[in-house]
Amino acid sequence: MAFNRRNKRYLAGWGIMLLAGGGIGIAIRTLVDLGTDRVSPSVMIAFMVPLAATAIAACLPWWRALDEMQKDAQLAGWYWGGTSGAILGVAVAIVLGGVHSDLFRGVLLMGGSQLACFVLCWIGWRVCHRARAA
Amino acid sequence: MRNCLRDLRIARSLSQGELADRMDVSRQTINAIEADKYDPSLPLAYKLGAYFQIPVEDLFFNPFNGEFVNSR
Repeated sequence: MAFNRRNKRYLAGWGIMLLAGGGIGIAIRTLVDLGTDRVSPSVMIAFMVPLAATAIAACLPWWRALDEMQKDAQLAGWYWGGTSGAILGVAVAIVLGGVHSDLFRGVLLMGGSQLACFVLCWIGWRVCHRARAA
Repeated sequence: MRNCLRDLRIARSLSQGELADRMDVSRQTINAIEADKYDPSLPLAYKLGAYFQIPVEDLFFNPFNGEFVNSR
């Protein structure tokens, strides 16, 4: 890989993403380790939401360093691969723990959050790209 | 979309990496466009056209040419 301007931006983006992701992962783990008996769930969520938002923001330099084909590959991979993986995960959770298990509840929570954010992003994208009818 | 990007690049003695640097994309993207494995966006197509100083229609071969002749 030639060490040109694009690749420098790409590597810098990766670095920021890994450092921020690692740091935020440790911070969230520390928070979880404190336990809900010492820290109320609402306080925990109030700390976690900005941490999660920061983790997503830390991905922006990497995303901006990608060219259009690399972005297309990411979008196709996350949409089709992520959706297929989620369906597989639901099936495995049902087989392993049944529909009343904590495992299945976790899968549902994850799937529900993903679906909600997908709908928000989809609406946002459509709103940003709408034009007045001719 | 079929194109003559490879011929134009070679005529200018450019490697795929050098053209990629000038277009601010990855070498893999230039390779995929040349091999007709990826259709570039309009801005990138026009950027390539501007770089080689030719119209986009001369760079990418329109697969719909002649398709609508009798439908107008």
